[in-house]
Amino acid sequence: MDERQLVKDCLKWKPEAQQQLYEQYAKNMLSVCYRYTKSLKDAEDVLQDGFVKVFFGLKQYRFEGDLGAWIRRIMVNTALNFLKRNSKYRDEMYFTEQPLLHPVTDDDPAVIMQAKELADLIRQLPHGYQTIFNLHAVEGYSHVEIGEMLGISDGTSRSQYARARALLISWLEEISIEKKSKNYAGK
Amino acid sequence: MPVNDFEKQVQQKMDELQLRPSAEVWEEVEKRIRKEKKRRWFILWFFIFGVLLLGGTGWWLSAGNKDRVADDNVTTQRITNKTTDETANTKKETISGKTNENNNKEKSEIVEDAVTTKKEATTKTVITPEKNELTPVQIRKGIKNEKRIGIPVAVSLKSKQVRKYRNLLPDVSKENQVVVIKNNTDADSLIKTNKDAAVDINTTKDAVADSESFAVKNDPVVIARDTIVALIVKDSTAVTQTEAISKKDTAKRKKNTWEIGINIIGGSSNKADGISIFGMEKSLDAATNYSAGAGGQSVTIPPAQPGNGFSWQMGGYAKRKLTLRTALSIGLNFSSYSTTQLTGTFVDSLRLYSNNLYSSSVRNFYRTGTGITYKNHYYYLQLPVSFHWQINKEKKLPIVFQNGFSIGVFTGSDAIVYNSGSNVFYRDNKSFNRIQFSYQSGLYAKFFNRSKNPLTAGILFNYHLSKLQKVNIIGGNHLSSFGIQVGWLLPLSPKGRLRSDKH
Repeated sequence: MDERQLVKDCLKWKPEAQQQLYEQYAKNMLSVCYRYTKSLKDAEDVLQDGFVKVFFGLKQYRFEGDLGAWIRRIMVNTALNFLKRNSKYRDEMYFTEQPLLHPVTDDDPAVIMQAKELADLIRQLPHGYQTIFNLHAVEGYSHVEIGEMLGISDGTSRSQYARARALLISWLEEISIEKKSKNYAGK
Repeated sequence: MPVNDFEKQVQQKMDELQLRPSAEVWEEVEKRIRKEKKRRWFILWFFIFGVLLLGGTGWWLSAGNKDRVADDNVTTQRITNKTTDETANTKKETISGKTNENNNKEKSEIVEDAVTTKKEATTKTVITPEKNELTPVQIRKGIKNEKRIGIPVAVSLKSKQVRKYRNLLPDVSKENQVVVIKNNTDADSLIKTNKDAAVDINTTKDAVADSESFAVKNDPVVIARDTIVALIVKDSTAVTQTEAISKKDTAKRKKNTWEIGINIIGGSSNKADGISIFGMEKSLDAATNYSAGAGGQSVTIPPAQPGNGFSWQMGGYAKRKLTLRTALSIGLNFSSYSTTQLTGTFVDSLRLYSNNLYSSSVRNFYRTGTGITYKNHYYYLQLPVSFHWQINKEKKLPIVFQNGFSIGVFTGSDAIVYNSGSNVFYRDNKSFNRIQFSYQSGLYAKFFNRSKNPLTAGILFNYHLSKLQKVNIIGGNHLSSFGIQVGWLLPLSPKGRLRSDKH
């Protein structure tokens, strides 16, 4: 079914169209939610909230831009709200100063692992780092936008991102130590 | 390796990631959206019902207030030749709390006994405090017209008590304060702005451009681009086809713009006079036209004013679209209006009564009074013709203003009519006008407009321009009603085809 028609049918509240839309995007969107949370159950909760918002907010979709990107933004916002609401995450969302574990260099390791492994690695980052890393590195938001979204300064976002990135790279180095030499770019 | 390559690799890896949610997630999503949808509909209907209820209550109360004025103006009576016993001195007594069963309103009457010597005839004057002028007693005792502002009239003439009641009066000089609450809608983070959309599009474009320069796996990108081009071509073809179908549909709709539906109207009805719908004129007529017993020799009880009753209409209509937002409809309704009438005792006796048009013999009648509540019903077959104008441009929830006239044929009634000459009520269907012209106006919303069978719901006001009775009567002689209308568009077109067949 054409995407435009699918949206129109969803707006008419047709159950089969709604299920089709869900099935079309659920897998990708669960991976988005998965990266922001610490457990699959939490990710599914976010996915659930997100799709409820998608169906009720679909009338505001103007067919400008990709529907997937539009749904993804809703999922990201829902995930951020979930983190703010949930005390388990909220208490660790304070962006405390931590020593820079790994300086930013031009010689970063290549990501030679499965997507799931990388996602799990990102999820092991502290909550604040995890969120900012996801927003900047994966979603492509600027630090100014991240600052507005999380209520922090863009400078804080930058420094937190640098630390998250450094920490992740150090972990990647440990994991792929034996392949380090051959996978370094430019070498 | 450039710094940004790490982010690109992460982004690419994350885009590849797909996780299958458990089946319970969709079940829960489905359950929640159905429940939420119901909740939202409930809120919408609750709001509409609230608005209608407020409007109806306002109309009802307004009609009721005018009735009270009418009743109080009629009740000035004079009772003569009442003697007092030897101990009677000049005294002041108050009769209070007389309840009118018609409209449950208090009537307070201040009675002055002007008795000066024993065994002399005393005149009792019943003074109604509703009039704007102060009564002699009120002037003497300094009582102002308190009932007008909703406080029971002072039941004693002692100045201390008068002061006490005065203290209870609200300060009407203060202006009512109106609090305006602004709905501060929180845009929330549900949908981001177009600016964000632009950012995303740009990001996607950048990502595509970057992926081209990412030399390791170039082929999939090329395939993806081809696919995108193919999709665009397919999309544009689909759009062209859709436009063609849309044009065909429009042409079909232009040919066949008739709609058939059924509607039900329920609400309140009453009798009014003149143009007024709220009974103002009828009260004035009642006050001026009623003649009491002659010479003050006999006590006559005036007829009570009719009260509100239930009205309903049921029927069908055919509507034709004139323009995009206007339509004309013609229908056929069976209508029932009712009013309540307080009467005195029922007398089962043959009598001959006459009005200024004819004489008729009746088997039984009701005296005036307030002991019995009689329900008058009037039945008509009406042919309404209405003009519909959609006042908003909304396609999902059109709001339509309706205005029109109808012609009706009187089909029956069990109503009793008042004969002022004999001061009795009796059934006389001959006195009713057979043809009734009425004006109707309303506002309704069309729900589920995109479905095959949209529902309409709104309010409708109906006023009979023709007199109810041929003879001039005391009180209202024009039926009026105000109520809620609910309609349903039938799935059949006039040609008998299913509406869905057209598409």
